[in-house]
Amino acid sequence: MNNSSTLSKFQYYKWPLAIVLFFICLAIFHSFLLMTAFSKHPDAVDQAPYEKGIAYQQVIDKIENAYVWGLKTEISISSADPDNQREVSVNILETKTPKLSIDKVTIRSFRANDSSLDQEKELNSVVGDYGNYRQILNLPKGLWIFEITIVTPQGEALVKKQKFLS
Amino acid sequence: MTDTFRDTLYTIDHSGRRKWVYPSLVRGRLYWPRFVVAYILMLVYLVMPWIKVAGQQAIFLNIVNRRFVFFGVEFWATDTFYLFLVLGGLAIALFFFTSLFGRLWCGWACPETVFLEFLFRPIERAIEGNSAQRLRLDQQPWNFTKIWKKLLKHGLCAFFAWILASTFLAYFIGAETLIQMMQGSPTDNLVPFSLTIIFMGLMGFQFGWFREQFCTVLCPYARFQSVLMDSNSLVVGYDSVRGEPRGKAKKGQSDQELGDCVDCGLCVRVCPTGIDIRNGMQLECINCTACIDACDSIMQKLGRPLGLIRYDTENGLNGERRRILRPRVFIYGFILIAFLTAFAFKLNNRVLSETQIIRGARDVPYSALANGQITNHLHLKISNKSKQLRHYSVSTSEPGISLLVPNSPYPVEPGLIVTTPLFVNFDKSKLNAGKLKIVIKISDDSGYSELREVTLLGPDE
Ligand code: SF4
Ligand code: SF4
Repeated sequence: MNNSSTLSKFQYYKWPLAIVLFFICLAIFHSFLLMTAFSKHPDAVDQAPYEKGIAYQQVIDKIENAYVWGLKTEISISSADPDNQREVSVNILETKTPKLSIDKVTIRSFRANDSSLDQEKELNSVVGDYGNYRQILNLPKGLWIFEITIVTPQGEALVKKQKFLS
Repeated sequence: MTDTFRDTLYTIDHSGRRKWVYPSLVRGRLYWPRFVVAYILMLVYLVMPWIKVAGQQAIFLNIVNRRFVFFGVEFWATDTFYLFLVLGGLAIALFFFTSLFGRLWCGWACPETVFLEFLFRPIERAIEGNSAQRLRLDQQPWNFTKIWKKLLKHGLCAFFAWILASTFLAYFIGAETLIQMMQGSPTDNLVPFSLTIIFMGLMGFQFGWFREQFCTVLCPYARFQSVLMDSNSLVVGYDSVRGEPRGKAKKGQSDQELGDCVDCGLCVRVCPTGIDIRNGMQLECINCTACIDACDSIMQKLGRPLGLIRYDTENGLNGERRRILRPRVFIYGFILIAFLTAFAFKLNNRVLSETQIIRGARDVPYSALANGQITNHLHLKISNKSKQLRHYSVSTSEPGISLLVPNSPYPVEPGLIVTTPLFVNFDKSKLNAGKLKIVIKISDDSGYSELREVTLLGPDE
C-alpha cells in the first residue's frame, strides 16, 4: 500500500476518529471531575438526597403548622446551678380558638459547633396551667438553639428559639 | 390492587427515584407487522437523502439558503401560504387520525418507539440478555464482564447514533455535501461537526437513559390525547368485564367464579412504560401492543379466546355499541379534505415568478431631467423560482410614459432573486397634486404576467 492511498483512506476516518476522540476526552474530563469531587469534598456527595429532601420537607411542614395554628411560644431559662442544670419553662400561647389539645411537647437543645451536649427531652406539663411545660436540662453557658416540637392529634408543630445563656 | 397508579408514575418509587423498566420481549401476532413497519420507516429515513428527484435531493431542508425541496418541488421562504396549508393540514390530520385510531402513531411510527424498540433495545438485548439478565447485570457490582458488556453496548449504540445523526444532518446540508465535509478536517466544518456530536449526545440521552419518560412526562402529543380521543377511539385496552375477578383458581374454588385473567403479570412485564393496562386507560400507554401479544400468548396456552387485551374502543370494551362515524370524524375529515384540496389546487397553479416594484428608502423621490421631464427611480425585484432561465419585460399602456430597465427583456437565472433599477420618465403636466398613478405590466417569456399599480411622485406646483 503506498502512502497516497493510506492518506486518502485516512480522509474518510477523520470525522469518526474525531468523534471517538471527543467522547474519550469527555469521559476523561468527567472522570477527572468525579475523582476531584469524591477526593476533595466527600461530604458534598450526598448518598441519600431524596430521603434528606423528604426529612427537610417534614420539618418545613411542622414549622408551617405552628404558623397555621397560630402558636406563640415563649421560653424562659433559669440561672445555672454549679452542675449547669437549669430549669427551662416553655409557654405555649394560642392566638386561635378552639384550643389545641396537646399530647406531648419535646425540646431538643444543641449548640452550633459542639454536638457533645445535644439533648432531647419530653417536657412535663404543669397541672392546671394550660400551655405551660417545664424540664431540667444541662445547659452550660453559651449560645443555645432550641427546637420545641408540639405533638397534637392533628399533627406536629415545630418552633425554633435561640438564647444566649450566661 | 393498590390505587397508587392514580397519582404516582409507575417509573418513580416512593422516594422519588426512577424505577428502571426492563421490559420482556414477546413476539406475537402484532409484533411482526410492527417490526416490518419500523424497519421500512428506518430504511426510508436512511435512504431518503440519497434519492434524487429532478436532479435534487428528494427531501432537502436547506435552512441556510431558505430553500425547501420536497420530491422535486422547491419552496422558498416566501411561500408561507404553503407552509400554513401544510402545518394546518398536519394538525387537522393529527386530530382526525387520533379521533379514529387513537395513539396508532405512538405505537407504530413515532421515532421514539421505532428507534428504541427496534434498534437500541435489540442491541441491549443482544449484549446484556433478556430482562431478568439485564436487571441482574445492573444490580451486580462492577466487574470485568459488566464493564465489557456496557462498553460494547454503548459503543454499538453510539455507532448507530452517529449514522442516524449524520442522516438527520444530511436532510439539512445535503448528503453529498456532508460526505465531502467528512473527508476534510472537522475544524474546517466545525458547525456541522458539532451538530453531529450534539445530535449523538441527544440520542444517547434519549435512547440510552431518558427513554419512556419522554412519552410519559414530556411529549406534547401524549398530552393532547385526552381532548382528541373519545370513548369511540381505538385504544389498547383490557376487557375487565371478561377478565375480572382475576386470579388463579384456589382449592375448592371453581374456574367459573373467576374471570379470564389469571393474574400472571406478563402484560405488565412486557410494557415498555412499566404500566399495568388492567388499571384502565392511562396516559402512559403508547399503544405499542406488546401487552396484547403477551396476553394472547397466555390465553392460547390456556385454550381461552384471544383478545382479553385487544385493540378496541372504550365502548367496545365495556360491551357497548362501537361508533366509528361520529360528528367529530366528519368535521375533522371535512376540514382535512379542505386543506388537502387547497394545497393541491395551489400547487397545481403555482406561479414560479414573483415580482415587486419598490421604492428605495434612501432614494430621492424624483429628479428633473434636462428635457424638462420628471424621472422616478424605482426598483424591480424579480424571483425566478423555476428551473429555467426566464426573461422579464415591463410595459405600461399609459401614453407619454417611458419605462427604462438595464436590459429589456431582463434575464434572470433559475432559482435567483435579483433587483434591478427601473426608471419611469414622464411629463410634469401629468402630475396631479404632485402625484401620478399608473399601472405597470410585468411579464415573462413563460406566460407569467402581473399588473402592479405604482404612484409616481413629482413637484407639487
Ligand atoms: S399498556 Fe400495553 S400497549 Fe400500552 S404501552 Fe404498555 S405494553 Fe404498550
Ligand atoms: S397476560 Fe393476560 S392473563 Fe396474564 S395478567 Fe395480563 S391480562 Fe391477565
